[in-house]
Amino acid sequence: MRIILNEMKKIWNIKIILLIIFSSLVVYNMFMSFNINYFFSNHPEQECYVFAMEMTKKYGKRIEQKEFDQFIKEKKLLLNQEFIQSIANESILTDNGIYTFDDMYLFFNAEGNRHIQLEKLNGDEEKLQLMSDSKCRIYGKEYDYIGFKFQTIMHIENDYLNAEKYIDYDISSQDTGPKSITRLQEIKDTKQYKNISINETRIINRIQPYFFFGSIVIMLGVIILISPLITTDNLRNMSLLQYTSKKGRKLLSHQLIACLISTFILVTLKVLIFGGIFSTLGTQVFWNNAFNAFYNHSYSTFDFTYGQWILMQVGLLYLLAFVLTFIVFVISKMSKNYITLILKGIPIFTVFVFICMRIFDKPFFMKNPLYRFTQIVGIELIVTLLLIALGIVGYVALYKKNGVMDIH
Amino acid sequence: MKILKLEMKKIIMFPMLWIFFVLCLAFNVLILSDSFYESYGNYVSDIAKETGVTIDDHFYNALLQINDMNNPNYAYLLEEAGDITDVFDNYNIAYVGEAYIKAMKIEGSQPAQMLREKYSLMQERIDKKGDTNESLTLFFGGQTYNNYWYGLSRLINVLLLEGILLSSLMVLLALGYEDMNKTDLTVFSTKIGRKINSKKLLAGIIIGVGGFFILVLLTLIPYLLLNGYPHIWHSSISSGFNYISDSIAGARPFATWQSFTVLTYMLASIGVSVLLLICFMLMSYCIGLLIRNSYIGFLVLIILNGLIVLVQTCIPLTNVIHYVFYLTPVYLYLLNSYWFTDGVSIIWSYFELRGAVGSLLILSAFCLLAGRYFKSKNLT
Repeated sequence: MRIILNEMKKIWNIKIILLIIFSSLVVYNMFMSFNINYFFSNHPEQECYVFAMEMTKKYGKRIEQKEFDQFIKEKKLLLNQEFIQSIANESILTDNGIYTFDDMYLFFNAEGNRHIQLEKLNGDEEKLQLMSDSKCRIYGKEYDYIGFKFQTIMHIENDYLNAEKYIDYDISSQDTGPKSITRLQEIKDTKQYKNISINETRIINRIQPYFFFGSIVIMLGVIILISPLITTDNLRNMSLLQYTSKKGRKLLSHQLIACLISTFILVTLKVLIFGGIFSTLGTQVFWNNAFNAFYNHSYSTFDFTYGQWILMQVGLLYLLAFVLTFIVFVISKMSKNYITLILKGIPIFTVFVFICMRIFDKPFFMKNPLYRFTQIVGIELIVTLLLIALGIVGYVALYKKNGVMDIH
Repeated sequence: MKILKLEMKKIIMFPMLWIFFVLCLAFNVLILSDSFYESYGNYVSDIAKETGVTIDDHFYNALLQINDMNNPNYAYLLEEAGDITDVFDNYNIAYVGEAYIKAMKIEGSQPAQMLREKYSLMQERIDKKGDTNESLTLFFGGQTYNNYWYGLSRLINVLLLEGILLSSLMVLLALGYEDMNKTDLTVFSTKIGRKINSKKLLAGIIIGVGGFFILVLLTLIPYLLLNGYPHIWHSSISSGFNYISDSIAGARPFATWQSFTVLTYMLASIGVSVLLLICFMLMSYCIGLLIRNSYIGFLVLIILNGLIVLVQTCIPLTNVIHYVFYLTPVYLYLLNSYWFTDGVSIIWSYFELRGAVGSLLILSAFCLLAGRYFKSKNLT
């Protein structure tokens, strides 16, 4: 234990800690903070998120037909009142027969719209421009995005009523693999589309990039932390001295344990910090909710809740960090100097970026590239476990070689 | 000279550099295999062999003589060539500047004024381009955007990054070599003493730039030959088929300060890349002299450049200093696809040349200071 602690003292060098802090700050500010600061931007995704939140607070994890009808009815009533108040200030619309959202929607979304709109306005282009400006205001901040709210509620209603049709469409698609078809059928039969979950645009545009770059920060931290340990020993000719000690060449395994513990500490610290920042968004409302909601068109490969999904990704992060620890440990042992170490570290980091890109791209969903390619449920975990096995094999080979290696 | 040769030998004889070099080549092959490939681009290139690349009466006559009506590509090219107009005729680029001023909310500030001046200067160049019908050249026809942006431009971007990494590491290797082999104190006690560092820098620059050229040759030549570039070399890079697109000013012609053909634009880009490489090598040299540990030195180099980007985002857009940061090597690398163009929100013309030359001078001064510091440093 004393040896492990001493090795950890070598790993947690103050200069290295400072470098990890600065590198994390740079990556966070360049790639991650955007997803937190602008989580509640983008319309109408934002409206969909708010409605989903309201539904789950009111009805729980699922919403049945009657409850849904009631929700839509209440919302439409409320939004209509709000809309009428807003449109009263936009005389250009009311003067031209637009009093409700439906009127506005019909006018601006008519087929072959510009031609028909001009026909209705006797070819008055200036008036049409003024009406368009007015419509933009209705959709904008000035009226608290009432246009987007209305539009979203219409889409949600449409999605709920046609949920089975959309699933059928996916089943009949040529791009859908045989296993995906079985899973889609199961989702349809068990009516999982009645689930209320966080909307997929939030996941794709904000949560996934946050997780991906979070994984990059963690991998970068592990490389910076672990890689110099044995190379520094090599440079200082410490290895020879270590081999003459009581532990002898078995010291390598103690060093590995120290590295694994350090990785665990580093990942835990980073998960706590970045997780803490992420938790300020309040997505925990959906913690116990399953996926596959009617307004989403990405389906999970098996049943899990939002909370379980987050925890599974954190688990993958730990596993990948351990894989990297094994690999970096091996290359550190095999490097005689720092430049060699860096030249080996850069390709390994690049490969890990690609691995993270594939694993953290909608993990455990049918749209995950690894799943689409293999059609194997939980392929993200299988790939990670295979990588762990590879790392262990690499270490065992190194350990054996180290045990019989001639010392000059 | 002998010392320089020996220092160069030290770098060349470092086996891991060669392995890294081969890995870079393998990565480039991976990128190339993923780059957009369409038979139409190659077809246009083959046609250009017969017709030339300037779209004029001679071009139309030659194209009609080919009369390959059974080929859908031919019909498409005929249609495209018939529809093309000079995009620079009566083109007013001022709206791009105005769109950026509005988006960045800098109306009334000095940068806004400078941005307008830059675009009015660009307008003069555009008028000249309009007069000389510069946009009426073929390039890859309708396939230009994909072939150029997802092919050549992306490749230059990757090559530049690899070159920067490789050359920076070469300088760090040259500087850290004696420390690694415990020969530093012996070397510094010789006649040349600590002056050897300048030889090491020179050796690093020669090998770094040479290595970059080899990397460029081994990657670009097969790519250019396989993708039909030899027949369209003399197309203007500002062809009506080429364009830039962003969310603020939308799609617009690829307007450059000078008239460039595809070949000269590529060579000019490689030239600026070399200047940039030297900037990064000088940066590595300063860091290498201040920090003896090359592992920490390399990480400091990366983080320092990250911090430059970070600090820039904290400076208000109405402050000219915000734009000065665009002239730093890291930004010049990030903006490499805008080299020799208007450079959107950057308030100076030719930002890449100003940036590269300015950075080179400033970093040279820093190198002198770092060298002076190292001369009087106690070595233990």
